[in-house]
Amino acid sequence: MEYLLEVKDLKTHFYTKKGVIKAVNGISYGLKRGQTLSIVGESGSGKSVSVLSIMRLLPTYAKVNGKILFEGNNLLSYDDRKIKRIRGNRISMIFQDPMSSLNPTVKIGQQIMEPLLWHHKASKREARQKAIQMLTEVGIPSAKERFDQYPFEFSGGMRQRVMIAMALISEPELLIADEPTTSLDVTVQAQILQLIRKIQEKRGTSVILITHNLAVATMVSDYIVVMYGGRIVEKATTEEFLKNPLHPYTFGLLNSTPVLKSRKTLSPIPGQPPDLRELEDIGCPFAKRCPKKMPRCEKENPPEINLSNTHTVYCWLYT
Amino acid sequence: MVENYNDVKTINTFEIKERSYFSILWGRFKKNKMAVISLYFIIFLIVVAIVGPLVSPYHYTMMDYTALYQTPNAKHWMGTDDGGRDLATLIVYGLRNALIVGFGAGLVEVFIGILIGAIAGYLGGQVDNILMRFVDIMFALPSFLLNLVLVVVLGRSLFTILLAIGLTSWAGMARLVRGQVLTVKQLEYIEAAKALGASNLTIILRYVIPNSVGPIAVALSFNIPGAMMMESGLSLIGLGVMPPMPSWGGLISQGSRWMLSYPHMILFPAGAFALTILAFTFFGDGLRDAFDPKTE
Repeated sequence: MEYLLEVKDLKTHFYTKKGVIKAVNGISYGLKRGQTLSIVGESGSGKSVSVLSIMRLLPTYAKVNGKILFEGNNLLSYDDRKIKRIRGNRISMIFQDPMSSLNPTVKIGQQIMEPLLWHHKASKREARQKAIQMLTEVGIPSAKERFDQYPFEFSGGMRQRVMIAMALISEPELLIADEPTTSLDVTVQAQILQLIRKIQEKRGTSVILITHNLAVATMVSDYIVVMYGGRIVEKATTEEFLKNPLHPYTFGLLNSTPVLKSRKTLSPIPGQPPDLRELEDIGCPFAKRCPKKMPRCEKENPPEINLSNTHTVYCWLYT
Repeated sequence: MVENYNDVKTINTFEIKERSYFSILWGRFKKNKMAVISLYFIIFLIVVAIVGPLVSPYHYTMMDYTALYQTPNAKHWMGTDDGGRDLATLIVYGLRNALIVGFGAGLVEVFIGILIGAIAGYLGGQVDNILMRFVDIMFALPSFLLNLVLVVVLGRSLFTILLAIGLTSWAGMARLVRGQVLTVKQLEYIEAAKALGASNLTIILRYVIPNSVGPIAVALSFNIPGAMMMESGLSLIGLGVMPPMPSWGGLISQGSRWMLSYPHMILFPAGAFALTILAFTFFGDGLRDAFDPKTE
């Protein structure tokens, strides 16, 4: 099957006064239609920056290199105008904090309609109808009355539902969800994930889910990409990932995830995530914290090892 | 795993009370009694300024040499001046001029301030730098002097005076708007709007300015009395609206000449002026509290 989105050797570097920050350092992955891909990693691993690069929502001092093929067209070669036609129309995004991602001065319904109006996809009346339908679909009761309310009259979970409605109203092919459940409490988290899943199945939307929660990733995704220090350390289908995790960092992540009813003590990964400014170009980014470190790990870039068509690990252990 | 959000739909019979943004603002505003009184007083002033000239039996050009320097009486509620003109009528016309100048200059100021502030804040970089240095220059020039020059150049009509006051007092507004834009610009909902394809213009008009409206309205309510004072200042030194059109500054300067023998001639215009300025200031205070939820 063809890829809807293919990221090839993506590099995002920030040129700041304090030096170059290599937030994303050569990552590649592909996403098929209707599938969900999770990008997992700790804070500062470059997962958010990698998707903001796709949307081209980075400040001007960020330099993005590589290729981002959306239906075969390189988004990085698009000018501002063209990319604005893609945003919110064919690729949508929802953000981490629903409390601050809605405009407090505009009514909910108005905000949901807006992507349609911006992209001239519907008249005002059609957009209104569709927005009410969308609100019902994302599980907001009394959608018609709620349409004319302001964001502060909604709870966090409700606002995230509104964000989802906003992102999906123009029926994009790709939905990027940047930690959509992190700021919600656990029961609401599950509801929101289920909602994304349900709508995705209904419409055949592809989803990129950014999370630092492995449980969430394994629950909803078809494919998992693990990032560390701006690079991918392992990528695999969820099945392969759970059955046969290979990279020491992936092990570390799995071991530090609590499992209900298990008496096993959690073993955290020693050390701290790297400072991206001090990261070397050469060598494995995880080498400093790796329990299975070998001398060559710090001197040479880890090789790409393909265990199957879908399972790739970047580690010297498996040569 | 919870899957009962669908069940919620079945209980959608409950009523949701409409509460607009303004009703909430009003709720907070109401708590400040002085501000509410001031608001009613300002409304009263506006009504008087519109209706007063229509119902008054006198006109500001009507002199009555049989009734000079009269103290308040049944025919002349606030007495008459040295030309036998009805003081109450003069004050009402002066009020009308003061309000026109106050609101007009406020509008000019807000328009220029928002334009320059929003462009500087939103675009940033060199544009910001150049515009803000220009604002600094406007700040550095003494505005009263600049006003004098502008009035002399433009002429002494009501319109040119309000234009001159507006043109010399927008710098603070521009700085305020720029600061607001800088704060609002990096909020998450702006990024969310960008991610959904909003254009720069949409973001400025629908997102940035509405979310900065609070501080702008507050600053405006303090600047309106400022503009009125400026206008009075100009008339005080004889550069306000062309006589015989009355202006509060002119009435006060005229009254000050007869202060000892006929104190009503300065008390009434000065009192009206002070009350008006005070009302706007209290109103501004209340507005600031209403827009800032932290004061609750």
